[in-house]
Amino acid sequence: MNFPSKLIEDAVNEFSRLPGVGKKTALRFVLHLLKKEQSDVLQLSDAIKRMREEIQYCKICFNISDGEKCSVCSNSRRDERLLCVVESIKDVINIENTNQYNGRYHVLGGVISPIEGIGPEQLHIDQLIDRVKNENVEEVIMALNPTMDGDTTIFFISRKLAESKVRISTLARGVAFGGDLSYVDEFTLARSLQTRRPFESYLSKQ
Amino acid sequence: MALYLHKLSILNYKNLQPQELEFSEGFNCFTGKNGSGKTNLLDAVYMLGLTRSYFNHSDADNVQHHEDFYRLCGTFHEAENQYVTEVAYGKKQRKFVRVNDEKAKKFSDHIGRFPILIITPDDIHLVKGYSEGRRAMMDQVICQTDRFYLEALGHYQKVLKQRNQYLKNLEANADEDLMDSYDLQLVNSGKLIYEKRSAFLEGIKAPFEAIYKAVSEDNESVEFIYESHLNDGDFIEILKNSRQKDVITRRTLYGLHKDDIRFEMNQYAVKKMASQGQQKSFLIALKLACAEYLTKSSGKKPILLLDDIFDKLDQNRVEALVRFILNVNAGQVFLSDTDYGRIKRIFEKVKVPHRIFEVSEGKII
Ligand SMILES: [Zn+2]
Repeated sequence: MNFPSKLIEDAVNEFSRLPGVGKKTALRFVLHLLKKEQSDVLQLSDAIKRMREEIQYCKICFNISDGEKCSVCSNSRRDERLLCVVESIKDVINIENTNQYNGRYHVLGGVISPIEGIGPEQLHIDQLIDRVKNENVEEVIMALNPTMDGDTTIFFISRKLAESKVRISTLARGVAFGGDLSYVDEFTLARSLQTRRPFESYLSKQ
Repeated sequence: MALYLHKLSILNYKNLQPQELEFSEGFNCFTGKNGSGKTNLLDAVYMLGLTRSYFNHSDADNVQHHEDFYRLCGTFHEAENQYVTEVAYGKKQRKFVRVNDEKAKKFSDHIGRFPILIITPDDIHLVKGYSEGRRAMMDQVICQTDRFYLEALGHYQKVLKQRNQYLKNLEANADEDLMDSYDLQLVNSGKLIYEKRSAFLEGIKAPFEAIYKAVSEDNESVEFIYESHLNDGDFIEILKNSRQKDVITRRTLYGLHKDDIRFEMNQYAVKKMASQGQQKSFLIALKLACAEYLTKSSGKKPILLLDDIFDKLDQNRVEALVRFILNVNAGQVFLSDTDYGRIKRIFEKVKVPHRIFEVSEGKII
């Protein structure tokens, strides 16, 4: 793509580095911004700049935060007995959006994967173990993705927490609510059978 | 009526010219010189059933030179049903498999829908070569009859890769908890793989011996033995016992990735003792026994692909073999051969629905 201006070319190149944005879309963004008032555009660039410069990671749970402590950790109404372990900040956002969870979080920053060069020491696992030791945690909910590396990480953490006697649970895996059994693939069905629950507990928890 | 491929249209696949073909539900014979494209026609059928080439696993290599995609479309019939099956791959488009306008979510969902068994001259490495080929043969057959096997195999390979990489990266002592985690996961899927492989080999034993007797002209006693570390004890114990050695050698020394099958003739290794002809009979018997296994466990007669297996056999042997295949299998067969005249003469005598195609420069003439 050729551009009449080096300034436009630079802007297009920057935008096209965003996920899912190609050169064409980037050019559309740039032309759109050119039509806007200068102050509107500066507001955008300022927001981006501040977001990047001022955002912090919570010292306790590694969630994104505006200060040292994130909004979840500093909220005294959150149940400190429940600790939900997730891979990434995206998972925190998703779980928060369900409005079903009132405990706290711990963001690992990934899962153990030697192939990608991620060992336990690259993750916030030691900090998690310290939290369980020092805080008032009764249950650790492992909300990791149901992958082989997720399983490895869950097993590893549960071993490291074995001494603490804390209760460890994982997300249920299986048939989606409202689904039709005949459309569920057989692995999901098999897994759902393996992780079946007594009926009473089903009703009482819903 | 058994499963069969009725029509096939080909675009930009290997050296094949764009064409549409119609097949017999019995025998379909591609005849022509070496390099004419006979084998690639068989491979196109293989691709429709198993979503990859038997010969070259890189899809980019299977696209014709100077083109940027290939597309295969076959119409399978089974009883009253018709399955229009499309496999396409492009350098700019993700590969997909579509059956009656429905895209397969995972390729593994498709495998086993149209069971296929291929015999090629290269398969002689099953008898002569490394254990890897023999494991691949077991996997190819069992995967088509058992989706849980396919899943377990994928899982096992993933765990093994991570475990080996972990061992390779080690700078100090291994973390025992992490090693335990990998070991337990290997055992989880490994148990199922071991059971299925044992059952598979047990299942093809009797047909194999019977078929060998029928196709060979000798009276040698033949057998095979499943060699697996898991024969010798509990997998978790085996892994535990070898952990130290694994750490030193930086890889996983024991497990199903080392499985093998030992082929014997009169209690000696086939690769050392048997003649070329015997090895070939051995191979054909082994593969046809697999075909029987597929029929038994999937309830569908597999489509047989016989690539140049009549090479160096005289016409009487070929005719006997064709009759034999007709008797044991009687599903649809695709075969390739260099001798048009011989094939024509045989099918004048053997009464079975068939079509003979002459192939030249990637095209049926
Ligand atoms: Zn926090």
